This record gives sequence, structure tokens and C-alpha cells, in this order.
Amino acid sequence: MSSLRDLVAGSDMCTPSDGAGPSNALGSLVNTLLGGAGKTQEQLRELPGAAGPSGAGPSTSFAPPPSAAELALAGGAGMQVPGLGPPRLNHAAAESFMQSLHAGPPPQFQQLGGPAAAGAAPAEWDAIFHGQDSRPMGPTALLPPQPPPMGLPGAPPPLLAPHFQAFIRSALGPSPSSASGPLPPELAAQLSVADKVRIRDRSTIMARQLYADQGDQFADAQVSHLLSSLRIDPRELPAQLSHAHHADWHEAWRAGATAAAARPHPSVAAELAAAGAAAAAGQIPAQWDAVWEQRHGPAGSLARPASTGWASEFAAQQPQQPQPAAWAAEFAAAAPASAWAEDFAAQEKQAQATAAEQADQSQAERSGGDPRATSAALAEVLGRSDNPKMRNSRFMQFVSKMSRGELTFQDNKVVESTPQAAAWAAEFGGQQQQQRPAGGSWAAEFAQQQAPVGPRQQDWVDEFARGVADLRLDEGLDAGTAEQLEAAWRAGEAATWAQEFNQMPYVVVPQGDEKQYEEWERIYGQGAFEDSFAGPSMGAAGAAAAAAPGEYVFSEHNPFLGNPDAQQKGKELFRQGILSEAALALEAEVRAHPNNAEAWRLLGTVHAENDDDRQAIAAMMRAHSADPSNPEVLLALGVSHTNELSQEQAVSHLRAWLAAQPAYRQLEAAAGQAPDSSQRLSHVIRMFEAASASAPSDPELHVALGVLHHLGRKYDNAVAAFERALQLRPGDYSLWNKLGATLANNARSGQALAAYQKALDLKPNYMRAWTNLGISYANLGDYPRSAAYYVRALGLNAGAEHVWAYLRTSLACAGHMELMGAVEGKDLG
Amino acid sequence: MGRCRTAFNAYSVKFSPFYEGRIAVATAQNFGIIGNGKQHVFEIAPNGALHEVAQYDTQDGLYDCAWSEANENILVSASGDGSIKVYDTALPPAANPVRGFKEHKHECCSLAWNPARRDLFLSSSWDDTARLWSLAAPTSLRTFAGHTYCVYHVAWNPREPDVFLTASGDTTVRVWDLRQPAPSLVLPAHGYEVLAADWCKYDDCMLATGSVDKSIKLWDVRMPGRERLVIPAHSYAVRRVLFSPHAPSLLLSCSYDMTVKLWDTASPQAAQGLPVRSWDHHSEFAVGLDASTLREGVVASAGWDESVWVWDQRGFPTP
Repeated sequence: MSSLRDLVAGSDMCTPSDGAGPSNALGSLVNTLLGGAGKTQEQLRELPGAAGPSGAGPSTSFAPPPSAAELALAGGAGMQVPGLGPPRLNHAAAESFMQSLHAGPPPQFQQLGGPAAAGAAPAEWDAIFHGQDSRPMGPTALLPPQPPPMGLPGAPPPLLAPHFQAFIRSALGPSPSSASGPLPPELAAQLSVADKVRIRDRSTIMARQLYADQGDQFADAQVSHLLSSLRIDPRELPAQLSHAHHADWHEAWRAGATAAAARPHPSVAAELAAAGAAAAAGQIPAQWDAVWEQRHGPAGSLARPASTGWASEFAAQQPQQPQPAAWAAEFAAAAPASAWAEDFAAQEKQAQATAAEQADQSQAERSGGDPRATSAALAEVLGRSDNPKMRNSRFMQFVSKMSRGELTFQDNKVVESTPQAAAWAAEFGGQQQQQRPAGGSWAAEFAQQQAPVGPRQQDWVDEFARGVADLRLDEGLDAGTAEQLEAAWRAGEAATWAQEFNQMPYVVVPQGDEKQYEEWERIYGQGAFEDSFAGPSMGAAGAAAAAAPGEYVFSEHNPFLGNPDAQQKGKELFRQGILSEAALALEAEVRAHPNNAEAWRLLGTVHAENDDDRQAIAAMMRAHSADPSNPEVLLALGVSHTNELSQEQAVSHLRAWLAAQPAYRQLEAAAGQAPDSSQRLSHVIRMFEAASASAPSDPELHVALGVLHHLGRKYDNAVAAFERALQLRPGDYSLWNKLGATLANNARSGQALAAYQKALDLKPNYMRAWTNLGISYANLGDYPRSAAYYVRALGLNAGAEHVWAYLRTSLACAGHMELMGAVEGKDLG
Repeated sequence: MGRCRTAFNAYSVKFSPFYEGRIAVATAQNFGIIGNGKQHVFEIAPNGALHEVAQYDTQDGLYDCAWSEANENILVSASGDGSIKVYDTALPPAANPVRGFKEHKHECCSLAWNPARRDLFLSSSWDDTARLWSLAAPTSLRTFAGHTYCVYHVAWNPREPDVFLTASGDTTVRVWDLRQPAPSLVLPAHGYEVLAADWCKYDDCMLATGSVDKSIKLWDVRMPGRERLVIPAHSYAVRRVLFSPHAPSLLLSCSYDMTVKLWDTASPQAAQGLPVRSWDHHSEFAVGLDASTLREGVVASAGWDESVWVWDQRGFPTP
């Protein structure tokens, strides 16, 4: 999925800001025009004038350097954060600030409501906050120097708000986002570069949140419409948020700008007509329709129709009321577009005619601006809409935007600005024309962008292998390991992997086995399992997760079916570490002999080593029902349930394990039940501690105790227990892995590495340990190496979805975007 | 129980941890794309009567705010210019903001005050970092870098005062420990941007994430490989998720689809996308959400329709 790749492509850190403080020429303009925001004294002083490209105002970089006063204030008690290391204090900066304090506050501060207020505030605050009288402090953290508010030249220019509203609205319905027409150039010129950057970056980030399922290209196209309606050319802007800028994005802007420039400067009627025409035939609404259908149509939609509410209602209304096209056309018919004077007169008349309706609507209208004249046609259309949300939000926005637009242009001496704008538009259009051949249309480009994805996916195996080879070079991995890794990847898995991956295993409930299954269900209780399998996972976790809780999921194609030696073959393959094949062989065996407890147990062990605890539990449960007192099965179930964080099941199985040993049966029976469920774990732990005191040389007891402590998140105790077990049984690779996992969970990833390495020395094909090594390296911040280990683990079990997810993360963090796209594509397959 | 009107688009609402009914509301003009901001403090009486305690104007839009856990009058606001403003509502408006921290290089979008170590708070930013602050220190105490896209949200673990999470547009949630140099966990939570995350207040291993993929997922940090639950929650990006302070399985969410929903994560209906409650009182994107710790069941939401609502989650919002 290319959008994801693009999303994280800008992985380098952001470039610092240009230092220009927030300019609020724009904000205050909008305030004035909307009349909604009563400006207070504070706001005025907070608002600097234009800190634009002309450099009219001083830079308003905000924070003062670390100040001496603040250091004093912090004192010794200020830094009582253990483990954080020494505070980052800059003494030079502090000293220079002290000097500036002695020199008295800069004159700008005195403008800010008087020196008394400025001086008193921090001291007072300090007293309140610290309950002590610290020494007087200068206005260290107050406001930056402020230039006087900018005078507004002449008549107020048109509003910006409608453009933003159109932009936001565009997320919710197929309204052409540039419908209000471009901002007149004289206002556009008042936007500082910093403002433009801000508009571009924020709208880009927002658009990507809103249009995630359409991809970045689409989101950026929406931003480009907004920018072109504000006459912002992103190519002239400095890069800021590195995430936000890709080369294609500028192309998208160009396409949007071309469309905008093709329109004459807006008179309202012409604009409405244009909107209507665009709705009927235009390129942007056409995209929109597609998106709309995609989102709200029955097929392939992420949204649930039940909960979309207004959206689906709106969709349902659409055919009955072809609204935008209809009313725009109507309006265009009613108000001749040719001359501004006529236009104005027509609107005046309509405004009078609809005054009554306006009064009603003004209540519904939720924005701060007062509703202005609108047309009878619009009101009628709105009156017909049953859905209050539509009426209040999207449509009312559109209407109020339009009505404000009219007034804006009346107030703004449209007669003067129109020729100017037309000239500009023509010029701009000409400019765009020249660039057009190079640029091409957005759609075509998008199609081209999409095209390479196919071949890329086909090549991804190679690419991946190359990536692994690169990692070897980069990381100085042991050459043998890496070669083995690469070979395993290429030869072993890659050929069949894709096929295998796409074949979803299905659930097989063996014939003649229902009775037993029911019995098992009765014994263990379906309800008890709901905790551990809370809800089926969607998508990523694959078919196994979608199966009923506790059900074993068989592979579909099994070459071992009917093989009488399947169990022996499975054991052999298991010994060799070829786990996927071993599982198939053992599956063949248990399908032939559903009561073969040993085969089920082996199968469960294979899955546990393959880091698939759900399957492991399912297999072990079958083994358990065939042979209820097998201690190995009970211990394995305890461990697997621990991995699945099913505390209750884990505890009860481990207790059953204790009861199944003749040596400890007495002890278990004597212990009785825990006084209440919350103490069950500690109760069983005490039981095991008593047992291990009586038989300190039984490694299994230490293992079980370690598992129990792990369950109770007493990791130090768990580590100690596993270490005791390892002294008795140093060759147990799974024990080393358990120790490693416990260390890692105890935030000792460095030590965990050694334990995992030990496990892998003992059993090189131990998939779980490879995965765990990858996790530990990722936790230590070594993402390239962790990716290499994940690849190794996936080479052993390509079906481990969660490891794919880890791999994606590590590749993203390591900056291997090109590989990530391949992984992502494969994952979706 | 009440509705507040704001001049600008409301971005965030937070209940005071000291006063019932007192809320801080961060707002931004023009949907936060450009323009000014306002930090409001309102007091809502149980009968719905409303008065404004304070109002502060800022140069750039405000995206979030947080109350101090140490002083009932102190609150901090996250500004679009990357700065963090500190306000003291006991002081006259002219004396505010009492402090300003400007280290984030881009928009600051989330703040979280540590409920246990009450001198500490966190901020997160579109500059891909989170920062740790103390009002007693002149600069940030620490920067948490590693995310590769905007960090949209930070939340302290309710039980472990050193542990917190960050949710990022790089599709991951990271769990950090102040005692560790690197994240303790990198959770590839969604296939798309993650806008929100929160800890369960009753199980310090449980967290919920909300993404632009419209879903909410529940995770146990001890099992990061697979989510515990997927809720197909909204029809647009999930903007905020919030575990109830009073019940382990209740979860609130709000979304760009304009709705606020209440989920019971222990109910099998959640996985089917069936909430306990769904409210559609907002007429624009619902982006801010909080639940009162002092009065069980009282929740608040903030929307781009310039309104903030406070109501009891057993009923429906009324103005």
C-alpha cells in the first residue's frame, strides 16, 4: 500500500521553523470580518501585525532561553525526577539572561499592560505555586516583543473562512471544495510565507487523516484545491514539515491551480454556475462521486451502514434531489451572470423575497457570522432536506459561504478588483498552460503511480533478499548466519511462500469427533475461553483467529495425509527444526487418530515453538482431553496460556500439573482453594514454593514457578526461578528462551539477547527465539538488526502475522521504506 | 447538563481534577488551520447554569489543554506554534500566561499531566517528539524521539508513574518508561495513522488505540503481536479514545464522523461495532473528549461546531 509508505517516508527529522512567529494579520482580518470574535485587550496585544515576508514585524520567537530566575526557582527540588540524569541547564544562557535582567526589561514588555502587571505576575504565581517566597523574578516567560497591531488597509478583504470550511466540508460530501472561487490576489498577498506554510502543512496533515482510505494522493489533491483557492503556490514555500511534501504533491497542486485559474474571477452567479457545471461534469466532483460511492456504497466499504446515519441518509436522498447541480443551475438561471450590477440587483431582490426564511435559517446556522442574503432557490432546496445534520452542516455551510461571498464582494468594491483579478487569472492561466505539458493531469499521474506497484510486488522476494544481503553488509552479521538466512529465504520459503500464504486454512472438525469435542467443551466450558480470545481479530490475525475459540485449525493441503508413518516423520522433522512440515505430518496423524494424545502434544509443542500459541493451546487441549493427566501437556498449557495472558487458565493448568505428579499430589490437595479469585495466583505460587522447597532438584517445579511469577509480573522472581531451572537443565533451549523473554519483559533487553542467543545455539531453527531477538533489538533501538532477525523468523514461519507487523515497524524505523512497501503489499495479499 | 459556545472551533475539553463542573476548553480559529486561539475555562452548575471563569487569547490555535494535578488554578495549553502556555486562573487576565515553553519545532497537539508525580507533564507534537516538562524547570526535562511522523497523543499510565504511551501517525503506539532510554514497546497498532490512545484505568497493561482506519483496538502490552479486540467504531477517523475513570470496560470515543460513542469492551457487541450509546449532538467533527473523575458518568465533548457539551453518559446531551 503506497499510502502507508508515503506516510512514513518523511522519516528524517523536521527542519526547524523559519523563526517567524505566528502572524495574525489573517486571524485579525477574519475576526473583523466575521464579527464573531470580540477582541479583548489581551488578544490585541497578543496579536502582532504582519510578520510576513516583507519583514514588517520583528520575529516573535517565543521562548526565552533558560533563565537564571527559572533556574533559581527550580532549585534542588525542581529536578526530583530519578533516572533522568543531570538537568539540562545552560549556564551561559542563564548568565546572559541575568545581565539582561539587570539592564531592565526591554521596552516591549512595558507595552504589555504595564510593568507592574508583568513583574507581579510571576512572583505571585510563584508564591502560589510553590508556597514560598522566592526572589523576585523578571518577566521571563511572558510574552514576546509585540509590534503594534497592523492597521487594516481600506475595506476589509474577503473572508478566508469559507475556503477552510469548504476544505473541511469536502471530507463529508461531494461538494467541490474550490467552489467559492479563488481569493483575490490583493488579499492573497497579505498572507505571509509563514502563514502559507502553516496553511499548507496543517491542511495536509488534516487531509491525510480525513482521506486515509483514499490515499495521500487524493488528500493532497484536496489540499491543492484549498491552496489554489487561496492563491498559495506551494512551490514557492520552504519545506517545513518534511512529512508533507512529495514531488507528486506539487503536480497535484498544479492540476488544481489550473482548474481554478480557468474560471473567471467570481461573481456569485458565475461561481454558482461554475459549481453546478463542475458538479455535472467537472473533474473534481467526478472524483468525489467515485469516492462517495466507494465510501458509502454497499461494497468494500469500511464504514458500517448502520452507524453512518446521516451519511447514508444523505446518500439515499441524493437520487431524489440532485441538489448541487439543480440549485446551482436554477440559481444561474435566475441571476444572469453577465454583469455584476445585474447580479447584484438580482440578489438584492431575492434577499428581500427570502427574508422571512432567512430568519428561520439563521437559527439553524451555527457559525459566528451573521447570515446574509441567499436565494429562494437555495432556501427551497434546504427546506426540502429532511436531515437536520445536512441542513445545518454541510449545506448550510455552503449556503452561508456563498452568501458571505456575495457581501464580501459588495463590500470589497468588486468593480475594481474584478479586472485586476481577471488579468491575474489570465496571467496565471498562461503560466499554467506552459507548465501543463510537463505536469499532466493528476489522474493520469496517479494511474502511473499505481502501475509500478504490480511489478514491484512480483519482485519483492528478490528485493527482500537483497535487503537481507545489505543488512549483512551493514551490520557485520556473522557471514555464515546471513548466508544461511538468505539461502533459507530464497530457496526454502520464497518459492512457495506466496501461495501458501494466500491459501487460507479452513476449519476442519474431524468426522466422528464431535462427541469428544462436545465433551471437551463441557469440561472446560466455552465461557472460560472467551477471556483469552476476546473477540475475533480482524484481517491481520488471519484465519486462525477467526476460528472459534479453542478450535484447532488444520492446513488445507497436506501431503502427509494417509501416511501411516506420519507421526514418526513429524517427530523427525521436528527434531530437524523443520517446523511447518512437522506440523503437517502431525496433523495428518491426528486426523487419522484423533485420540493420539502424544501426536497432539507434539503438534502443540511445534506450534508453541512457531510462536503460535492459539494453535498450540488448541492442540494441547486435544491432547489433554485424550490424556487428562499428562504433566507435560499441563505444563505446556500453563505456558501457552501465560503467553496468551489468560491468567486463570494458566493458573488452573499449572495447579493441575502439580496434582498430576504423585510426589506433590498430597501437597496440592492439602492446600485447598484460594479464599477468593483474586488470590488464586498467589495461592498457587505458595503451593509451588512449598513443593520446590521439598524437592529443590526438580527443574520442572522451577520452570512452573518461573511461569507463575511471570504471570504475576514479578519478573525478578521469575528470572531467579528460570535460572535455577537452567542450572539443573542447561541444555533446554526453550528454558533459555523463557529466561530471555522474562528479562526482556523486565526491561533488561540487553541481557535477554544473550539468553536468546544461547537458545539459538542449542536450536538454530527456534523461530520463537529469532522473533524474540528481533523484538529485543527493536527495544534497544537497533532496527536494522531487528528487521534481519524478523526476516529470519519469518523464513521459518511465514504465517506469523504478528511478526510481519513487527517487521514493518522495524523497517519503517530503520528507514527501509522500499522494503516496507513490499512487505505491506504481501501482507495484504 | 450544559453546553458552552465558543468563538472558535473547539479542539479539546478537560475536566478540572479539583472542581466538579469546571472545564477547560482549548479552541482554534478556522479549524486550527490558521488564525488565533482561545483558552476558555467554564464552570457548569449541576442545573446547567454556566459562567465563564476565564478566557485567554493566543496568537495561534490551541489544540489541547491539561489541568495541573498539583494546583487547582494552573492549566497548560498546547499551541499550534509549538509552544506550551501556562495559565493561572487565580491571576488577572493581564498576568496570563504566566509561563511559556517553546521547544517543539512544530504544532504541539497533546498534553498530559502526571496524576501521581504531580510536578511532571508531557507534551507531544507534529515535530515527531514528545517532551517531558516540569513547571519548576526552565526547559524540557527530556525529549522522546523515535516516531517518524506526528505524535498525536500522549497518555500517562494510571498505575506506573514512569510509564506513558505516545500515539503517532507513523502507525505505531510506543510505550515509554522514564527510566529507559528507548521505548519499552513499539506497538504497530494499525495499518494507518493512530490519532489517539488511552490506558485502561483498572488494568495497567491494557490500552486502546484509535486510528484513521475508523477502528478502535484494544491491546495488552504484554502481547503486542495481536490486538485483544477490534471495534469497527466509526465511519470516519477516530479522533479520541478514553477509558472511563470509573469502570474497567467502558470506553468513550469521538470521531470526525461527528459522533461520540460509549463502548463496553467486555460486551461481545463491541466487536460488532455496537456501542452502548451513540450521541450525535455535534454538527461538526467531534474532536475533544473527557470524563469527569469527580462525578461518575459525567462526560464532555468538544467539536468544531464551536460548542462543548457536558452530560451524563446514561442520558443525552441537552443544551
